[in-house]
Amino acid sequence: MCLTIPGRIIKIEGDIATLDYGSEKREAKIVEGDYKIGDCVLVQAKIVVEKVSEEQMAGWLEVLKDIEERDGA
Amino acid sequence: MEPEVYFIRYAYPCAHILCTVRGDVSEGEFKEMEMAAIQNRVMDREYLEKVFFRAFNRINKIAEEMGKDRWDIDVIREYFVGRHNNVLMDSDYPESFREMCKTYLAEVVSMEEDGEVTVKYHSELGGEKKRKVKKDYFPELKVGDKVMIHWQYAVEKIQ
Repeated sequence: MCLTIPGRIIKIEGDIATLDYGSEKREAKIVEGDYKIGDCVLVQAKIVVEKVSEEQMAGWLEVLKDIEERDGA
Repeated sequence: MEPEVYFIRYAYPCAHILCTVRGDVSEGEFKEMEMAAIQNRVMDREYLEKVFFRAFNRINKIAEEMGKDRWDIDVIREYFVGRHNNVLMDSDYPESFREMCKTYLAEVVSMEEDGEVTVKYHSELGGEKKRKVKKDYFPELKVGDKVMIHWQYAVEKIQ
């Protein structure tokens, strides 16, 4: 997709991570790299590709909050 | 309207995400895009194609299909207005986020005190929905006007 959005890992079972996207949860595969519960990551094509910082995550949550406030105005 | 301006008006909110989340676009670049969109400033094509390379992957295919240049406004419109929502069907985005990514034809229903407007539109999720959007590109916008919306913006006026 055009954009890659971050989510926080809330569960890891084998090589499958469960990501919290706020209102929804999604699963993604860990192919390589060292990830743990609590990490914020980017997912592409259902594969965890990169860790993002807490700062980036905070910026994202602000965007998400603005989105939710606008829709259904 | 110049195609570069038309493109950036649709793509500008996406740059916000690229800027906030990953730093793919710097704050300065983001501001420059905002100015370009509001003041009808033409940005460098090569630069835009680089920043929004994922969009241009698709725009290039549409251009080929239509037998037109990728910077033809009809091609860019076909991408954002014609195909964009279908492309999103395959995405992993959370539903509320995806809804904002979609482009919708909307009607202005009220003017807000903060200078924005509230519009109504038929959501693909079913039913009529309302959204508060910015009218920076059309200061003269009034109740009853039809616009295309993308994210938090009225992007294009529809006659």
